Amino acid sequence: MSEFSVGIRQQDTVSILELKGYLDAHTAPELEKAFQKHLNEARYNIVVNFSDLSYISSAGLGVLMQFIEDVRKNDGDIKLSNMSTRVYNVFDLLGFPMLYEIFKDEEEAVGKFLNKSENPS
Amino acid sequence: MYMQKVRHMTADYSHSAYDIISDSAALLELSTVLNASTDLDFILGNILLSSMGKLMVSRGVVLLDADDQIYRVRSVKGFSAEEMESEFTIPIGWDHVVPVSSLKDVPEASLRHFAQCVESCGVDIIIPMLLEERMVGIIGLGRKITGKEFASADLTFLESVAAVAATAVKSALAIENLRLVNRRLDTKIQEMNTLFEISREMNTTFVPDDILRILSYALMGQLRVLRYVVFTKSGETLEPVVVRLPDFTPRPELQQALCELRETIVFSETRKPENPQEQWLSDAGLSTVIPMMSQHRLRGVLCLGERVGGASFDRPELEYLHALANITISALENARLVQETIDKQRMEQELSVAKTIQKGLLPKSIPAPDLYQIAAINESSQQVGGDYYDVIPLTEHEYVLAIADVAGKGVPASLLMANVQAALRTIAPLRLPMPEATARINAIIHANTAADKFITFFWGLLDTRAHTFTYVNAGHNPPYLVHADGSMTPLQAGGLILGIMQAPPPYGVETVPLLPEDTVVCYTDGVNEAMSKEMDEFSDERLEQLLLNNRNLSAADLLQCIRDEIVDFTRGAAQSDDITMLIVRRCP
Repeated sequence: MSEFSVGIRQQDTVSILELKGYLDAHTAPELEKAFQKHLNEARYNIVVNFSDLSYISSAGLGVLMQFIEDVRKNDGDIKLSNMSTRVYNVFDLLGFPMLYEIFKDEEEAVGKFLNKSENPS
Repeated sequence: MYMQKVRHMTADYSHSAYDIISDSAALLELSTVLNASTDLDFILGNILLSSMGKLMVSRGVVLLDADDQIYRVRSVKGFSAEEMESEFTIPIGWDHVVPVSSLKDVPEASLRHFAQCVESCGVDIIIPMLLEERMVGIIGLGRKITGKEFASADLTFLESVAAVAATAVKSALAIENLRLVNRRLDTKIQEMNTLFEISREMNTTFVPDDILRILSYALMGQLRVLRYVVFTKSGETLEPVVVRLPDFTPRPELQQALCELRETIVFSETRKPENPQEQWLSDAGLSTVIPMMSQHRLRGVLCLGERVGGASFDRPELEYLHALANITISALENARLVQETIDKQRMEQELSVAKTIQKGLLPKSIPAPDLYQIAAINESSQQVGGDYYDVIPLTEHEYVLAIADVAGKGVPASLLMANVQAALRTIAPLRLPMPEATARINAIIHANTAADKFITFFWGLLDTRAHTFTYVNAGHNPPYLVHADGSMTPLQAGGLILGIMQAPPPYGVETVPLLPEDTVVCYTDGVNEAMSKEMDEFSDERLEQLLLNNRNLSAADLLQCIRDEIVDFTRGAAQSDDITMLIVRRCP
């Protein structure tokens, strides 16, 4: 039925998860697996790039919530980037912009991690 | 709201024509800017900044009509909004500029309070924003930084600004309201979509863990709840099936107490915990407790912690949670029913396998020796017990007869039965003394079974030439040797049941002579322990009486007679165990 995939790239210490397709309760376990893998490997600097994501339901947001505490406890973060208006609206309606840093571009989000590690102020 | 005339505060400054033109230009510009925007904050900010800029004032505030006589602070310039209260009760309205100082002696206490507050923030005059005679808001301004009084032209200017502002604010409010309504609608649509998606996903899986995972996604993703425990009914109590709460350990008293839950509880200032269990929930941060009902019965409970980013659940959100709880529990119920159906089918399949094995192990035909009759029957129950009988011809005049009852039911019992049969059929032709042969069979069974598996076993060697019956009874219900004169001997020589000890004490053996019309009746406990509808046992006594009364029947007729009697006795009750009999009779 609906197709969804997660592509993973690494840039320095930052993992970039590229979401593609249709993210709902049916496909959310796929994203869950990807996050679980990162946590198992102690990779806590994560940028999720939404540019190729055509739809997200609250189940997708559920996955982000599921891991955010663990990630932040380990001095990492999940930062979000390249959202379409449609995807952003779902985040906005559910009150998520106050919980996550959302960037226009992946570069900015990655930069935020890398700058932080350069000047640990 | 009535209009109260308050004395104009005027200073006697003359205004030049230039000033008037300049005022008009400023007003026109302001009006153009305001009407081009629908952003209320922008509009209010602009009203304050242009008034303050024009009149050289450093402090300004705008309050808007929020409710009947309630005015709420919406924009502040030149000082911090925290310095003053966020809303005031203003019971009267004005139609022109009012000095704050004139309000300090009015009879209305709330008005005096308002005057005191704004004055302490440096507000000197207030200008009503009038729209169709209604005061929709108030602009408050501080003193001129030049220290001069406001000129009458200033006041006229401010009244005009307020009039322009009132119109702009009205449109902006209408649009803001529309946006709010739109957003609420979007939220509703989003909620409906999620519910739809959830129920679709939940109803396409019959795996409870998948259903609970979908629930978790919704709690975290839709409602921003990160701490929760889901209990579902298991027998008479509730068991935790999803736990997202640090250091949670099951609490039987709590789980028992929650079984009585019928309505949602939300702990708050007005609904405090009422018993130790509720106190525990509240202390654990689980402030919302929702029953999960299916067909008016409690099937589970959802305990939720605070949501990330604050704000407790409002009414629509609680309704949403109820819908979510009910969708989840009915999906779980459906999954359970499907699983039960599958289990039942599997069990039936297994039973049919067991039945096939059992039937295959029983002798296809019963030998008919000279001068003797042999009859046997095995009727398996619904669950298929582990009964077994066998008749093995050794020579023309020697026959091994055996009956056994394997502990347990179904496939495991029938496999063990196969083991007994193999052992017996291997060892019987060796012509060992029966006690030793029995010990060997025991050793084989013991080696092949778990400690809790055992077999009651009786076997005998019928010699139709010597007219003797030599037997060993390994813990089986003693068969009856019924004589023509009505006397009866139970055949009990032997020893321990098979399979529990590797080397049991030596088995005893007995040889009994068989006279004409003597009958040996072997049976399993499905016979003497057959249960009636009223839960009465068929009993040894009833069996003995039956044997006595019918001792002159042929083997086959006696078998039929006992069987009929049991069928009659158990009418209406489910047959719980196999009925197995093996009868040998020496012809008259």
